[in-house]
Amino acid sequence: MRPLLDLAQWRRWQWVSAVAVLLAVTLTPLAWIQWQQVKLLEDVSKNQVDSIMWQAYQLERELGRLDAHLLEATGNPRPLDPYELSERYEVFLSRIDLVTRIPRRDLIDSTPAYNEALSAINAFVMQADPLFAQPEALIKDPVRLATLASSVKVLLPKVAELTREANRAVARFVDERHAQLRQQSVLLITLAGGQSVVMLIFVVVLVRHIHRQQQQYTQLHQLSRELADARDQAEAANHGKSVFLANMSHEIRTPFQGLLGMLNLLDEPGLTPQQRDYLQTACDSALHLLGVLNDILDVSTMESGTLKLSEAPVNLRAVVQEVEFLMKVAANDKGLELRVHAASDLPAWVLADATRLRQIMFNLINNAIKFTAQGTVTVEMSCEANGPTGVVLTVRDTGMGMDSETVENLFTRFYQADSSLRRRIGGTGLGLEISRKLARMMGGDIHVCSELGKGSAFTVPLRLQTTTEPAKDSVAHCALGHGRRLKVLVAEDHPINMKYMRILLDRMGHDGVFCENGAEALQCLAGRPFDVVLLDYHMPVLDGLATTEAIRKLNGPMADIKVIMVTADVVNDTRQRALDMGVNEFASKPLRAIDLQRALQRCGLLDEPILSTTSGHDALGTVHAGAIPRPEIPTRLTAPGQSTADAIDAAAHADMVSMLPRETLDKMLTALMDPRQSTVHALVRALETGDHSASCAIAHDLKGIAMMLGFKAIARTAAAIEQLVMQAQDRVSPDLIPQLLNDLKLTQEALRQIEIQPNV
Amino acid sequence: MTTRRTLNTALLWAGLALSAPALALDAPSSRPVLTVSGKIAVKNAGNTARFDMKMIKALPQHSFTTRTPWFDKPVKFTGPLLADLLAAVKAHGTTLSAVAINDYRIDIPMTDVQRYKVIVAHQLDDKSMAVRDKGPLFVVFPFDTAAELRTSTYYERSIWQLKALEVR
Repeated sequence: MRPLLDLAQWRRWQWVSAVAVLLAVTLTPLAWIQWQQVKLLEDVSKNQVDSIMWQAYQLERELGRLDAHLLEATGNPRPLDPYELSERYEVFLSRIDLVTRIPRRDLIDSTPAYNEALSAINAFVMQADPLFAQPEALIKDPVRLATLASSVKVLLPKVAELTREANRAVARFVDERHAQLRQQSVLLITLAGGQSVVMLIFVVVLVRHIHRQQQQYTQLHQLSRELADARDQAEAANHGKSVFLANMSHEIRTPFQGLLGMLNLLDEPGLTPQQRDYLQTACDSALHLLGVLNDILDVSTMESGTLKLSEAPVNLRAVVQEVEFLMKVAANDKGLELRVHAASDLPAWVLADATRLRQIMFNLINNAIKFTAQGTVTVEMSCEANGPTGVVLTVRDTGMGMDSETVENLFTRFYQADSSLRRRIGGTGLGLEISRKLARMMGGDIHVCSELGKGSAFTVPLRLQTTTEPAKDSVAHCALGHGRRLKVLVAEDHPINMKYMRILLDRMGHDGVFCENGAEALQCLAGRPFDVVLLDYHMPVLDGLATTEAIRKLNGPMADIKVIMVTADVVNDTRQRALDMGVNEFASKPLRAIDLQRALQRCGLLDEPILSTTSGHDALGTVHAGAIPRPEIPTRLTAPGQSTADAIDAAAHADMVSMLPRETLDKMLTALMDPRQSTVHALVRALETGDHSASCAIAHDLKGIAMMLGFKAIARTAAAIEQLVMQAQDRVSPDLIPQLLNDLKLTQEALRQIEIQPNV
Repeated sequence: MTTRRTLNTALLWAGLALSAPALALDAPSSRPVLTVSGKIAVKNAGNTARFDMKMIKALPQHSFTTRTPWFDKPVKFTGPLLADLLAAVKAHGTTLSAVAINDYRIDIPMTDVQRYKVIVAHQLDDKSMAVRDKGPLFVVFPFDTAAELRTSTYYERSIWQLKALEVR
């Protein structure tokens, strides 16, 4: 039911008028009554009603005194002052007017007593006036005096009656006034009653209003609580989904690398063209799927809020050059011109996450190349000193462009410019969303400007803090093989990773015992003592966390064994949970020798390392397990090495030499460098024939071996080739072949120099 | 000139002004209309001072028009200031007791005389007043000049048919 008065809907003017009406209704009658009473009082004071009686009485009295004087004059022969008698008469006369001219004479002037008295007085005055005109004559004329006295005698009762009438009139008037007052009192009481009722109604309405507001407040409160609950649930579900996605993509990627490797192995010269085509298609699909997985992993990491930028000093110009180097091939293959320009006033060094910065650039340039059939793709990195951000990246193409609707939806997840293009061009539709999120994390954004048929321009302002060139920091390089020989229990379900770990531990001079899951690890621990346990985070049967929990619950000294968790898990709270569970240290996947070394040191199992230093801040420590690079981003690539010093990481090489038997080393060198059968030449051949899946696989192998042996230049170029092949998913520029051969030559020269001067 | 000189303390007091005639008050030449008695320094009939209408009119005359409860319209009163009249007899009391021909009696504080322009009217609307017209003398307050005068206190003090004043 709609309330009679909905106060909540009232506006200010309505309140003002309501109060005004209430005041008017209340105060007007009061004012009126007050005014009436004031008038009454004024009337009383002005008209002196009770003086009627007084005047009538005075008249009677003066007549009595005149009577007495007349009597005295007649009965007493003693001479009397004639003026005194006349004066009495005059006083009596003055009294007549006071009665007849009094303001409220209306109270009596209609009564018979008044008229009778007045006419009698008038008659008397008519008779007496001539006589009193000569007082001396009068006083000496007893007859006239007697006549006058008898007239007065006649007059006296009438005047007395007038006095009584005046008395009655005053009484009537008082009654009348009382009646008026009573009437006003009744009116006042009625008014007060009415006002009380109005007030009561108002109060009731107000109370109801307050009550309703309270109810609404309660409902709102309830609603907001429900909404908050719903939001929490939705957030939890979303977070769960993100974690699930992160885990799943990770879990899928690992076996997927195996699949890719196997596909590469199938690629042998003896295949028929049809088989080769099938294989090519399988490889392409697999690589595409890998790209999708990586995108999903990025998105879910962003959504779960765990993606963090790791900022470090970055040489912007170098990054631009690397990207140019890598993308030029793809552009050239499509017959496009790629113009890359870095402004001369760019800050040399900035604080940035180089990997993510490259990711943005790759994505935008890739898109530009994808959607441009002919013309130019221009990439510009300029300085915007006055703008809100420091650096602006612009990627401009002469491609198909987009209409405004497309631009609007461009950053929407899974949206693609043209659904028919999807099949032709491919991609997850996540790339731009990821890039924009990354740009925003860097304090910038991505703006699009596009015209259908004329091309598009993506502008990325980034807030990158200028910094100074980092000092050539001395990176500790572990002299592997030093220190204690540890008994290490490794739980790792993935055979490739297990194989890798075996080699790694062997190289580091530790004894490894391997099992496939946590449950087996617990059995092994029960069997014999170990110094440390390496647990994979994701394992079947019993995962890393559960295993740690079980180990800490063991009886005996094994309960306190050091546990190192090996994980690639990107979710941040994993670490905290693991620490809570009793994990001592972490080593990230893919596991590098130096990381393991440090983890062991932190556990107190190894002495402080004997340090040797390598120049450059990018020591080649990355040894990939299986074939798990971060495929979305090409590995660091610098300008082609020109000197032998850049070709080999001498210290790393020395480690290997000290660790491996001479004949093993020789075999490896032969496998790497022999002109007839070496990996380098196999890669060159694969590149020459344009067999890109083979190129990819061989380049990966080469990278791994070269890294292990400390051949920086070869590893660098091999990594670049591998990435280019993956990125472009197409033929790789033959430019890389001479560089690879050059690297090989430099490496060989460097090796010869080391032979001559063994102690670097 | 049968001037009766009263050589009392007032003579010494007023002697500073060397105005012996000021102390003199002629005897009334016709029938007296007002008798002033009590604490007065100037007398002309035994212990009292008597005024006839001529003497009243000889004092400085003042007039004003005012509304009163006794007349329907505003009326004009003319006569000497009560203060002047009292000064003529060198009254030095605190209260005036006024008596009318009909023996009406009322006390008037001396302060009233000093504070207000009270006159002893002998003319009403420029005509002499007979006894039947509240005459011959009528003490009138200037009611229209102050609100506090329009109360019964001052209406009572406004005595008509005045015949005697006693200074106490």
